[in-house]
Amino acid sequence: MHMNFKFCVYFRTVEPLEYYRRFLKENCRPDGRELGEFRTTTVNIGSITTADGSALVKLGNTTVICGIKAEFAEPPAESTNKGYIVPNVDLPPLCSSRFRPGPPGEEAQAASQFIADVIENSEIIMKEDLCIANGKLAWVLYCDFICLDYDGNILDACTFALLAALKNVQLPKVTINEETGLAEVDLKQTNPLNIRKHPVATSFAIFDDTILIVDPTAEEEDLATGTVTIVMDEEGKLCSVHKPGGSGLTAAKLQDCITRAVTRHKEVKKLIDKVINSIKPK
Amino acid sequence: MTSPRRARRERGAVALARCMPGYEIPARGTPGAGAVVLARCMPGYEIPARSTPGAGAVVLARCMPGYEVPAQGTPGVGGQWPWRGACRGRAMAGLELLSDEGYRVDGRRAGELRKVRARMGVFAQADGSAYIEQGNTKALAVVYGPHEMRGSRSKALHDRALVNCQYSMATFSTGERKRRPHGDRKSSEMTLHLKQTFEAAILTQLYPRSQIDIYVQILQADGGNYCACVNAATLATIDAGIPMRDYVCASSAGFIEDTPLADLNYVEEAAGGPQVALALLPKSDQIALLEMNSRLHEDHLEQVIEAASKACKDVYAVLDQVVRDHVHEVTTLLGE
Repeated sequence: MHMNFKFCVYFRTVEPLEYYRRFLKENCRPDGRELGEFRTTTVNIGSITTADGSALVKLGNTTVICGIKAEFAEPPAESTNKGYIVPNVDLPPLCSSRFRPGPPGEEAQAASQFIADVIENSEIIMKEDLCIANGKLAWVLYCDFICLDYDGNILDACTFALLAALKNVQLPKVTINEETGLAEVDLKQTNPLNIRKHPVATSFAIFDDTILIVDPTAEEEDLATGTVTIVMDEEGKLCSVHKPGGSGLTAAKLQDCITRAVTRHKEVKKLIDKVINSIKPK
Repeated sequence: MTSPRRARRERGAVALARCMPGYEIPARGTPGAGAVVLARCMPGYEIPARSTPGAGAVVLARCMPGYEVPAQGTPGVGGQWPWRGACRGRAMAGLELLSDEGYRVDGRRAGELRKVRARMGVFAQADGSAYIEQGNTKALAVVYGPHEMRGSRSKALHDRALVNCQYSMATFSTGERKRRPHGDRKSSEMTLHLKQTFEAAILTQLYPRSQIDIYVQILQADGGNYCACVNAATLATIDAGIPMRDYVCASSAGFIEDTPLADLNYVEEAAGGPQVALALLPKSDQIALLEMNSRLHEDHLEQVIEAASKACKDVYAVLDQVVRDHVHEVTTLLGE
C-alpha cells in the first residue's frame, strides 16, 4: 500500500489505534523505540537556590521539577518522635491543554497520593530522622512537584525527581537551648538527609489486553486499555505495585514487568550517582 | 553613639529576625549585628569572620544567593575600610543600597541590569514557550492558542480574541514557603496586569471568537517578578507565532539618594523605597503598563521613568538577539 507522509498524518488522527497496531506488530513504536525502551532521561540537581533541595527531571518530553522546603512543626500527637514529609503534585494548565485552571484535578490528586504511598512504603527516609526534640520540634519537608511539560508517565518522573531532590537537601543543625526553650539553628553546619532506600518507579501501558509497553507517552496512555506501575528498591524488594483497574494481566506478564523494573532501577541508580558525584566537590 | 535612624534600622533587623522562628539574635551592642541578623535569616549563608575588613558589606552580599562579592580591593566594597567603619555604614538592617562610590549591594552600577539569559521553544506540548533568568529570578511562560473558547462560549468576544493569563509562583520560589501558589490577591493582581499588558500588544482583531492562553510560572523569585514574567511571555508569544504590535519589555526602577536604580532585586524591593514597574513597547516608546509604589516626589518621576525606559530598551536588545538566534537555529535544523 502506498503510504505517503500526508496519509500517515491523517491516518494517525483518524484511526490512532490502528496506526499504533501496525507499529506494535513490528515490535516498535512510532517514535522509534522498542517496546521495552525508556525515553532519554536527564536530571538536573540543585538549580533552585531558594529551595532547600531541588531537582528537574526530563523523561523524553515529560518535565517535572521538584522543590523541597523544610520548616519547623510540632510532632504529631500519636508519634512524638516523628517528623512529616508532605508531597504535593501539581499538574498546572501550562503543562498541557488537557488541564484546566482551578483546583487540583483527579490525576494530580491521585499522583500526590501515589507519591505519599511510595514515601511511606519504601521508607526512603525514616520519619524518626526528622525529629529534633521528642514531642517539641520536628522538621516537616514539603515536597512540591510541578509538571512543566506533560507527555505521559508522570509517576516515574515524579518518583525520580523526589529521589534526586531528597539527595540534594541540606538541613542545618538545630539544638534546643535549655534555658530559653528556643531552637537555635546553626546554618554553618548542614547535613544531608539519610536516604535509606532508593525507590525507582517503572510504568507500563497495556494495549489490547496483551501487549505491554514501557514508559508510555501521553498519546500511548490515551490509547492504552490499562496501566501498571511497579516501584522497586535496590535490594530487589517491591515497594509498590499500582494497577488502577484497566484490562486484566496474567501473572506471567506481571513477572516480566518486575524483571524490567529491576533493570530500570540499575539504570536510574547509575544516573543519579553520576549526577550526585558531579556536584559533590564544593 | 547611636543616631535615631540607626537605632530604628537595628530594631527593624531584630524585629525581622524575631519573626523567623529559632534564629539567634546577637547581642545589641555588637557592631555589624544588624547584618549578621539579616544574614542568619537567610538560610544557608556563610557569615565571614568578624574582623575581616568589609565584613559588613560581604555579609550583606552573601545574603543574596548567587551574587558575586567583588574583590576586596575594589573601590566601594569597604575593603579598604576598617571593619568597624564598613559595619557602621553598611551592616545595619537599613542597608546601604547605594555605596558612596556608586555600587549597589550586588556590585552593580545604578543603571545596570542583571544578567539576562533566555531560551525559546523549551516545551513540546505548548504552542509557544520560553524560559528566562534575570539574575536569580527564574520565570517560564507558556502560550496556548489561538484556539476555540473553552468553558463558557458566552465570554467570547465577537471581534477579537480573548487573552487569558495565569500568574503562578512555585511554593519553593521564595525564601519562606509560599502557601498559595495562585489565587491569592497578589497573584490575581499580577494576572490582571499581564492580561491588560498583552491585550495592548497582541493583534487580537485577527482572531475573533477565540482564546489565547498565557501561563506564567515563577520558579525562583528574587525581585522583578512581574518584569521577568512579561519578558518571558513576550518570547513565548513570539515562539507561538502570534502576531504582536511590538515586543513588550518590562523593567523595574527605584530611587535611592537622588539616584534612580534600574532592575531591582529582592533586597532592594524589600527595603521599601519608591519602585516603578514599567512595561514598554520599545520601538514606538509606548507605555503598556506603569505602576508605582511608595511615595515619590513628582520632580523625580521623570528621572525614574527615564531610567526604567532605558532598562527596558536594554532588555529589548537582549530579547531581540535571543529571538534572532532561535529563528536562525530552527531554520538551520529544518534545512531551509
